[in-house]
Amino acid sequence: MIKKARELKVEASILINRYRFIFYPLYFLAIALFIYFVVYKILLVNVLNIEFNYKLNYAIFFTNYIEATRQSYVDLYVLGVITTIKISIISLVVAMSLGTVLAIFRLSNVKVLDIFAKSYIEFIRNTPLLIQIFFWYFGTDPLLPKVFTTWLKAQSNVEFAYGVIALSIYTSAFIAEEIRAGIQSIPKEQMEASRAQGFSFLQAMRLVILPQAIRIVIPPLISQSLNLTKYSSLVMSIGVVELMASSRFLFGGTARIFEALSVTTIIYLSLSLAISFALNQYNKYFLSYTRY
Amino acid sequence: MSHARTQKLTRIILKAATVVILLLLLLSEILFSSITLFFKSMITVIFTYPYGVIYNNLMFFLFGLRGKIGGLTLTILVAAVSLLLAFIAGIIFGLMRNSRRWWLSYPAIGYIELVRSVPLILVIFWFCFFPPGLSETLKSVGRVYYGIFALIAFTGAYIAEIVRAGILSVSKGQMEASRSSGLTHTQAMIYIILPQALKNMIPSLVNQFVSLIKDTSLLWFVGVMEFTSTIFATSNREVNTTVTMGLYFFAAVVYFLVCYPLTASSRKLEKKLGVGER
Amino acid sequence: MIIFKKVDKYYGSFHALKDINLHVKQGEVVVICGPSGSGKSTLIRCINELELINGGELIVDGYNLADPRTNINELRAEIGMVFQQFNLYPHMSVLKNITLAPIKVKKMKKAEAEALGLELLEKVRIKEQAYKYPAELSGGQQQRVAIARGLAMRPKIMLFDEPTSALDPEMISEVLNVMKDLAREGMTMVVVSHEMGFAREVADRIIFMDVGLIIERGTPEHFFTNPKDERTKAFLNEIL
Ligand SMILES: Nc1ncnc2c1ncn2[C@@H]1O[C@H](COP(=O)(O)OP(=O)(O)OP(=O)(O)O)[C@@H](O)[C@H]1O
Ligand SMILES: [Mg+2]
Repeated sequence: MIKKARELKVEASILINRYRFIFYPLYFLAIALFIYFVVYKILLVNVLNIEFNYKLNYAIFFTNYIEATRQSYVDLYVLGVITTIKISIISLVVAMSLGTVLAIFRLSNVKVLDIFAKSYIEFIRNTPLLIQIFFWYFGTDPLLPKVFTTWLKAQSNVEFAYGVIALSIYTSAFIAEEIRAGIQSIPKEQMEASRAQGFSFLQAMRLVILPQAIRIVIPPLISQSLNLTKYSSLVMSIGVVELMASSRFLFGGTARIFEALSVTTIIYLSLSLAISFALNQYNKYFLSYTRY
Repeated sequence: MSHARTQKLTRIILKAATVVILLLLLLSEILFSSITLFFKSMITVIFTYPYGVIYNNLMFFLFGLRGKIGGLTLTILVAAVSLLLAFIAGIIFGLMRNSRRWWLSYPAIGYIELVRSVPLILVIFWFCFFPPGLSETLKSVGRVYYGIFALIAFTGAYIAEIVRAGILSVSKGQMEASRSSGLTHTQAMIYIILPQALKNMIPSLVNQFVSLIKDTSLLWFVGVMEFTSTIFATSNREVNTTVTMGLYFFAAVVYFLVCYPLTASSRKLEKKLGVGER
Repeated sequence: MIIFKKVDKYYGSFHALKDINLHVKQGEVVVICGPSGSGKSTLIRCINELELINGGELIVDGYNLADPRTNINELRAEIGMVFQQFNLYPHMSVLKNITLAPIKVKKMKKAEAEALGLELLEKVRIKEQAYKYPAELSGGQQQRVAIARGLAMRPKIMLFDEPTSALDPEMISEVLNVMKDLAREGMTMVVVSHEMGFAREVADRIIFMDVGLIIERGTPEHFFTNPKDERTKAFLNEIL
């Protein structure tokens, strides 16, 4: 009986550890309440006698931001979230393919490709994304064929396209490094041992090396996609209306800063939690995978 | 496998191979022509570029407007100050995060997870736009200071994670050995664990500094005159897109020259520390 | 000196120590052996509370470990411990490794502590290495530094958890010699070891463990000449 209870407790603690991120919203809520009541209400208002006159007014979200089109700020936010997700996913796909190619270049024995990939990666990683966005958006006209630029300018969402270009080029450098590190982190002995057992090179690669490499590479790739989602907010600088831009429209137009930013924070938080949920699911799958 | 099936398979493979090869040829043709075009235009740009724009504004890029700190100086100053203060915050929150007492670890978890899951611009907007709206005294504080606070709050969370990882990287035996010779937990932390953890953390801290230098460019959004803003302001005055391109490329090169030595040294350190371990 | 009464220890749902009864007297040398995973390390780590016990009573040098009022740091100052992996502090010189605890815990003067440290290093026969760093020493030398560090607090009890298993054969004897000296001086020692020659020479009692239980206990003669349990016989056959 006692043993049963003990086992249950162990199971429960494992489950709680695995799904701990579900409790994060609760932590945040508790901390927010703590700050509001203890730091603000008691310390600032009662002890130091400082009070801020800021009345919350979330109804502002339902007013129209352009009278003519009768679109409310909620619509604007929805548009923003969709754009953020869209630009992240498209850039991620492009960056993954680019990054894989670069990683292969890095690992290949061809000196030229290695040097090219290396300098590309180093240069991209050591310059700010914002500068890169400006470079692609404002500066690439003279480098590209006239036909192409006029065609591009005629498109309805040029900014989006430039945003994808900048984001995926930036992210690909990071992804390439992760993939290369993952493959190189597998000790040479693994290959030797499996060859010694009688596997062919391809079999060894397929059965021994790649499963381990993928296992190592996937978590950093997921965190890179989280980074990408966060960094996609920078494309608002060239006029893409994603989540950050919509919130800037809101507080720029109405001066309701707290309302605008708090909602944005919660949305980003949920996006991130969704991605860490993916990471957790992966780990869970992997844990069950190693057991057998 | 039967003979017929093998033959069929080879035929399919051959067909697929031809299609792939044709596609690859087409692709390489397109790639090749575009690459030559790109290089051609690049070379013309290099030879016909009006370098005077960069030369005339060099003082502005490096030191900002006369009488005020700005430009690259401000970028590096902001990054250094933020790193220093964020490091202190990071150690405090990292230790809290590792604590077994829930009333220490939960607030730390909340802060770290919250900050790490939102973009830096959002943090900057919170700090730069919310407090000034609250009272007149808060309004009179300069944007730069709010920007620095935002960078500290943001980087502090990342450094806290670095600190935590650093502490976990010191083997458990070290804590056990020091506890069993009678040191308290705090003493063991201060004399045994932290010195070793700090050494392991140095490469990550240098990397964080590089990120911070790059991240200061986001202060452009709130109108702080750091390096990116000076470049942007200059390029805004120009109509010629070739000049614009050169300016941003120049900016990228400058950032690279500042950041790359740091990245390279951190990598070297990492290797050295890795070899030195038992 | 050390009294185990019906001690139980769990790791989660895993029962690592089952109903351990053991009495180690002052000046006694007890050697614990047994197959891997039998709970030897767990037993010895309970003595200075690196692991908390879940049931029963454990009294060390008059301190009751189940009692929350026991000051664990005070107790640990009276117990020295030597680990299989040495666990020297890599960022400190050998002498600092030894003097840290006396200075910080006993508030000893630095000069005094260093004199003590040199004396201890002389005892473990590596005085000339005092100002080197652990990474510059051989395994046997490192382990002897670890012993000196364990002795620095002038402990009443010394615990050794497989002190020689990470060492090359030619270094084992230099560590064992130091331990023999200690035993002859009348130190109370609990040693997890598979060095049967050492056990035969200095142990007052040998304890054989398996699956968390004490299976066999007795003097070396009894243990080596007529063990009762089948598992002990099998183990001895394998190891001798
Ligand atoms: N921290 C822990 N968490 C869970 N189980 C543990 C832990 N430490 C030890 N165990 C388990 O307790 C049992 C006894 O471990 P212990 O380390 O005491 O064995 P040992 O006799 O010292 O073996 P060895 O000779 O290999 O050192 C083992 O089965 C081990 O799996
Ligand atoms: Mg053990």
